[in-house]
Amino acid sequence: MIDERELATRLKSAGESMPLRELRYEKVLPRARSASRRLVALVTVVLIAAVATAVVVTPSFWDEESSILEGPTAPPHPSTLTLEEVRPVLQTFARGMSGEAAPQTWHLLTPRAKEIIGGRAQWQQQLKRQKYLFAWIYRSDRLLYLTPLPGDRAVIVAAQPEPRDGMWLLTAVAVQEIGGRVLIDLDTRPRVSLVPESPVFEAAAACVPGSDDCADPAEQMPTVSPGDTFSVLLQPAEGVEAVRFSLGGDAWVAEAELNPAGDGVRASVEFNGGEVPSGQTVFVVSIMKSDGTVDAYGYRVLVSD
Amino acid sequence: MEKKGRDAAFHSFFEAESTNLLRFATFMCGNPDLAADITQEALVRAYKRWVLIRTEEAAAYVRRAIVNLVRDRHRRTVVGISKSPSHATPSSEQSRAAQVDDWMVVMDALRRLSPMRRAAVVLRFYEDMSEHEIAETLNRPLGTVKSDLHRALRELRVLMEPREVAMEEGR
Repeated sequence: MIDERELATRLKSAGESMPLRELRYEKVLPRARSASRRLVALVTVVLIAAVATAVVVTPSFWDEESSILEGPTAPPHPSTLTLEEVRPVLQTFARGMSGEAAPQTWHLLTPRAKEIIGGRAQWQQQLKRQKYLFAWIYRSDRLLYLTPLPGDRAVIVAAQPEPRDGMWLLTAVAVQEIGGRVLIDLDTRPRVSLVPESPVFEAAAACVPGSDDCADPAEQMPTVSPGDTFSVLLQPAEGVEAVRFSLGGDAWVAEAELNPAGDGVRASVEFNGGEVPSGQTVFVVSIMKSDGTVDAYGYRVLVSD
Repeated sequence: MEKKGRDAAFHSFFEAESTNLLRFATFMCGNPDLAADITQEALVRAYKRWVLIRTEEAAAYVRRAIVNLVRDRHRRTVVGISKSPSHATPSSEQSRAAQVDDWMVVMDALRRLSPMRRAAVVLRFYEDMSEHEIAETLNRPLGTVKSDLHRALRELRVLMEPREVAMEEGR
């Protein structure tokens, strides 16, 4: 049986007979120096980056853009959100989006919106598309309506074009209060397609000014009267969980009845008048989807007695 | 000036230790070519941190680096001397052939140990380090080193003896 002494002897014998390659100092040193230089360069880069980061995150550095980075603070109770409280948030967001600070607006998005967008890189890619819309909101400064959604998580903020651009509400944006801050709950995924079916919509169209599919702004403003039935066809039907119609903010809110229709689902409800005062107002269709997001379409209408 | 001083100290260390380190690496991986690469890489690592390494600890540092590099490779691939025929170049002389045979038997047994146990065995029985020195060199607890040596020896007894019998019978 092999013992320790014998093992040592065998190892020493093996060590003497083992074939060894030549290790040349002239070959090792240049590699070592090169690696050392790389290390120094790396450390230098890291230090510079650390200093730069420290400077950038200093609040005074962002004095100019601080409103974009931080956004206004919301009151503690989301149920008490008013249009005036939400307006500055959307304005801040829109201002950031319309300027060079667009990438910074990432900080004003809700966690869910960030998840939907898929990351900062994707946000950068989508900025061009979103930028136009929000630049318009910022320039027009016409945030029109606040509509509560089921639960206390979000509201719809509607924006209105300049009167000369047309008569319709053009977009709606969800917001959410998290930790005392109002954040933009932007859903950049393709929306559920909405086809207006009621006569009241015939003259209206959901569009963005300047876009190819925008309706002729010279169309007449649709008139809404008590007893009218609102009906829209939503495609595809998958993911549509509930549809709400609202008129005049929260003056009249009704859950639509959903019925299968071809490849989609038809949402319809009868307008009972409610407390909506006559005159110009905004008609909002909110589509609650099973993943918790909301698509919203808005139309500017004239309510008649 | 500082760079020159570093180079001079590193050169002295290289002259004094490189062969021992190369031999240790060859024991560790069983392949002379791979051992040369690993030793060179370990020396490069030592040079990068030369200002932080005390001269008396430099050899231990490089040995530790060699063990770590062998362990990294061990995780990725199975390192085996039987797969690299380049080392098996027995001389035509009978004595040389016997030596090479013995080396192959020892290496074949060593390579079946885990890299840490292999390192402990080589440091203990080839380099005659004490268990304390091995613990310091490998940065392992003393108890673990003792346990590694005990188990490695038990494994080696099984691994090396059948070959001895076979060799004896062949003669």
